[in-house]
Amino acid sequence: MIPVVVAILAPALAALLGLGAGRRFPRLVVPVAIAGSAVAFLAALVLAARAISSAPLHDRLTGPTVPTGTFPFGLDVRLDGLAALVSVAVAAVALAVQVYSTAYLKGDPRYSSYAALVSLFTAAMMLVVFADDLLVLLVGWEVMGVCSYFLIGHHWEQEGARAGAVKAFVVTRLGDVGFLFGIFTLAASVKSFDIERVQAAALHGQISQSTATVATLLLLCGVVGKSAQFPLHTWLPDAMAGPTPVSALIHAATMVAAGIYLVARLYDVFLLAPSTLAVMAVIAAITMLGAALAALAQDDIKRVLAYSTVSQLAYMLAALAVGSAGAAAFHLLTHAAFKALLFLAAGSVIHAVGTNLMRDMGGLRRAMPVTFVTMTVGLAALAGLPPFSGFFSKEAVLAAAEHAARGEGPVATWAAWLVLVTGLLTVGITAAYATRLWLMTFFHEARGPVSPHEASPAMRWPLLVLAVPATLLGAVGLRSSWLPGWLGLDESLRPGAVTAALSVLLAVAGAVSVALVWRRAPATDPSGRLGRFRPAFARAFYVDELYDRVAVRPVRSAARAVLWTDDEVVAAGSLGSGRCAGRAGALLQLTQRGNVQAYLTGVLAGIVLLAVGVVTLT
Amino acid sequence: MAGTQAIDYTALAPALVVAVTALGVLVLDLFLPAGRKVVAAWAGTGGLVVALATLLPLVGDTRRTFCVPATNVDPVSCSYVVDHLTLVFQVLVLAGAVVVMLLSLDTLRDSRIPAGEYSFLLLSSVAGAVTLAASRDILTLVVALEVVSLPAFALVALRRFDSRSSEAALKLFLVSVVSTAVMLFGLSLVYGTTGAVHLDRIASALARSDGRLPATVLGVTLSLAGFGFKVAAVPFHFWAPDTYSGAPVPVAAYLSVVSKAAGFVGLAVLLTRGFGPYADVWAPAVAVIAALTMTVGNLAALRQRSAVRLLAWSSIAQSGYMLVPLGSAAHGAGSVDAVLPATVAYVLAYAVMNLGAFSVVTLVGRHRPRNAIEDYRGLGRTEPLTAFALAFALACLAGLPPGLLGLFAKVVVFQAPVEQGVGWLAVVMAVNVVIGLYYYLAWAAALYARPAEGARPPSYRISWSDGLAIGITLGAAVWLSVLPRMVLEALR
Amino acid sequence: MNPMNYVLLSALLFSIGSAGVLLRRNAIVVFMCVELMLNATNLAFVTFARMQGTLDGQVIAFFVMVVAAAEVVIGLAIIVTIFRSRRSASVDGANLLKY
Repeated sequence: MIPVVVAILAPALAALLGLGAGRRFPRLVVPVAIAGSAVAFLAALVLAARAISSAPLHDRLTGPTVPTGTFPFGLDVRLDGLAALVSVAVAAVALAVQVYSTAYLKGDPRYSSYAALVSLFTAAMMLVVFADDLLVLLVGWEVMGVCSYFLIGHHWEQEGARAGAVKAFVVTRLGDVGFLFGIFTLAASVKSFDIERVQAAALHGQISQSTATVATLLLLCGVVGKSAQFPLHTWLPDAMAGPTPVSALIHAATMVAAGIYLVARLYDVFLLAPSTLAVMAVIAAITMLGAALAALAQDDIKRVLAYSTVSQLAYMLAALAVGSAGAAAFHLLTHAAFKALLFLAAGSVIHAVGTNLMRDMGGLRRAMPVTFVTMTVGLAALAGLPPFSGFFSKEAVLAAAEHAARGEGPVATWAAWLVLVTGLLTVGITAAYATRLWLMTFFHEARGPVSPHEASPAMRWPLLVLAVPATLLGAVGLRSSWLPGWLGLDESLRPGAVTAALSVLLAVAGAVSVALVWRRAPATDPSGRLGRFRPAFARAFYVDELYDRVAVRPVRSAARAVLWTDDEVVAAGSLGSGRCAGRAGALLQLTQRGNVQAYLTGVLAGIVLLAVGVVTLT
Repeated sequence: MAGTQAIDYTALAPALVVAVTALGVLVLDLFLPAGRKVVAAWAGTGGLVVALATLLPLVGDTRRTFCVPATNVDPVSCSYVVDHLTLVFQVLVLAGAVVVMLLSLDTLRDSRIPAGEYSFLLLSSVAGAVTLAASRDILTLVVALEVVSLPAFALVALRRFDSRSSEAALKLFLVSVVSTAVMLFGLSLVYGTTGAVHLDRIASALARSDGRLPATVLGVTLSLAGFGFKVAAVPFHFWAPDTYSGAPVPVAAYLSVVSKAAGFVGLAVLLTRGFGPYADVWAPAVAVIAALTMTVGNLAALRQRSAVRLLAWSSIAQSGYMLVPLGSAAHGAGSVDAVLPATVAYVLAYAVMNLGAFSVVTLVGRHRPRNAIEDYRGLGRTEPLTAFALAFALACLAGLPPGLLGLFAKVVVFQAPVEQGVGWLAVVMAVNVVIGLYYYLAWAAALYARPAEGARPPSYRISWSDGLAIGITLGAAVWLSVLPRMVLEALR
Repeated sequence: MNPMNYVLLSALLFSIGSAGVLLRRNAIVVFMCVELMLNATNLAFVTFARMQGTLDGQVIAFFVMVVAAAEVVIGLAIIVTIFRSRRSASVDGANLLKY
């Protein structure tokens, strides 16, 4: 179990060193940060090797127990196949990002704190991955949120970065409150915060279905917030104001997948609550289709990828909803590889042309061959073209949905059908936006003012390295003794014949139709053909505007209203003597009598209401 | 009645020590030269510490005194009972008062507030609070409650040169006396229908009666008023923001922590020991009050610019959380006793974290009389420890890690409605916790923001008494965040 | 005479007192109305003591009188300070603190 502790503590130590001594010894910043994630990566590799050689792995290390009064919680860590494999993904992407950032953020005045925060984030994610206690997991979960907040706001001179950071923090906190209370509900019924004990209680029927439903629905709030699912998905596109490597690590590969990971960890509890699974299926269906459509009309290359992340995370949630934790984990791993690759490649493009907007790119194929090839690999994996990794994992999800649609899953068949149909549709749209991004960025002629250049080696190598798993990782699902065996699961992750054929067909159709539109006018945006749907897609169906109307403004006015009543009560005297006296009606005059007496009126009226209420109701 | 009865002076010692010290301080003040009046405050602090020490022999067993003999239906009933609940609150009240006295020392030295009178009034009020925790009949409860309140009016009005101060006192006074009158009227109805004054006898009379007599129901409901005022629950909250901002800041701290804790112990004792059988009557009323209190408090706090007013509204909201367990009683037998520990735990946690916040606010208010949130910008750069103490207290109040004390306290409170099946109250509380996050975090963030252009970064000379007060509260908050069992299981 | 009538009388006095507290401007009159409320409760306590045949209610009434006296002392002191700074004993004038 030592590698587990190392994997958590190495980046934490690097973060501490970076925060403590980074300013004084700027030369140490890069080596310390890279060493931290490299050590974590090696430790994770050791763990993964163990998980593969002695599958199914199950091991735990009991730490000291902290008495809290109600139920003790322990600093336990646990190791199983899922945790080991996810930790490899986390550490690999973190290492790639640290290396990549040395070039991407070269000369940044706040580089030392940036690198330290990335290290801290890595440590927190490792804690989430290995924690065997819900409260410990919560600590990691919150630390990740705080790191995300700071890193999105890295360029805090820019208005967008500040707003994005605050929005991400507030929206995810909104979900986290549900999450917190979900944990409490679970703990209250099991009398323990221990994940293993909670899972065991769920398996042995010690959690009633109603408790499980309430708890999982509350937990789902946190998952929906963290994993940016509808209706709390709005923060992720705005979080793209952060530096691109951060988007690759936190907002594509790891943190946003933590919600999925959590559901997988507590899957036995979720299986007790079919209604929660149905809710998950509906959320996933709405999210995957809506986000894919939104991605189709974005002009900012990072926002395309952000919506694509939202959509792909919805696939994972859908897999969980239809009863396949294996497919969810599979897609989580491949997505971590190809989406991190895509973000880093996009960062390389942005670094070269100095803009996020695709209308100013174009023709980069020749100037940036490495970026072009690796991004092509990533987009092919995203679009689900065989033999790239995304094809296999997405197929596993669709096969699981098909399975459940035949009535063999834990969820209602209608929900499974919903997932299956929207999943297939989304495959087509995914291929379409991936093709659009590919064509607009790399083909035709350069539209931007600057002459682009290939990225420096520190940025090239992570791309090349990540391209390998993005291509090949799909193969691990082909045999049931491979990935399912390592995860200790008894299910097949192989593609189903019908769904595979259909989805390849749809993907090709989506890609070809975009290509045909594009060929007619290569210099323009193919999404122009969407006509009057385009603004709706580009604004992501006005969900943000809706929230502003129904949530942000009413809360502000409610605060104002409460103050107004108080104001009315207190300041009525001054109002009455002032200009309002003539206009105020008879009703208002009652409150205008004056301050203290208005308070007393409130007090006595409250008592009368209370007394009348109680006496009549009992 | 059989002769004179023995009085248990050991049980009375804490209250007596405080009361005697109060009188002693008043006399001592006469003999102190004009420049040395602060010595009176020191003597008062010493008296409080001695009173804390006199609690030690009381630990472990239940002591009763001022008893009436058994009748053919009731066993012996006592007016003054020192049990575990009493002790917990007496510790809280006395320790809180020590911190408030420490905070007052510099205020007394710098301002024109007479130190002797101030200490006398504060100690008198504390004596009332100590007695209130042990009161077990309605008369003692009322008198003790008034002993807490009356000196507090004078304390608020003590800055005679400041018309804001007397206005604050007037508002406090009027709301208080009206609430007291309403409560007395309610208690008279309860007395009239049960014929008992001791809480245990009221409880047994209520349990014996079948049906729900409207007069008794009305009496029980009206009795909530006096304590509702004390804990600043909606609709009795109106005085709190104005009084807190008009009073000297240490007095505001006193009102929001010690006096409020006294209100809660009175309410808890009255509702659980006296009106327990009528829980199905009062619990829904308390639940509604709790929901209103936290919602109004949180929403109003959102728009505050002044630190003290923000803490006032926040303390109203926190009262709402404390009422939640009491409001979830009544569903099922024994639930009244089941929910009490949660309220007690939250009151204890709240006292620690709110005193922590007030310690720093007092310090800043001494240098920046406006005491706006804006004055705290950049405090983290010049006074890292002080800023950390405030940030930690705010994190606790918000219930956000690392403020685990507040988090655990909220968990315990939240469990009550969940376990008792009052789902809507749990939902209202959850929503309110989210709203609360905003203003606590905004303030904490201001501490570490860079100071406004051209503004002098705040830097203070921190006297050792202030430092001690901040240190005690911060230490307690950190310690209880690590080992919350002391608070959470105070009553188990 | 039916003792219930005294209870009703006390409720009436209590209501008159609360109305006065809410409606009168002069702080001194407001205080007198508060006293009226407190004395209404005294009447109720004494009546109930008579109905129950115990002395407790009468004892409570004595204590309430003491409390009321103490309240008057402090209340008048507050009014005097307000009067000094404002030259008026109207409760309306006190509105420096708001929001």
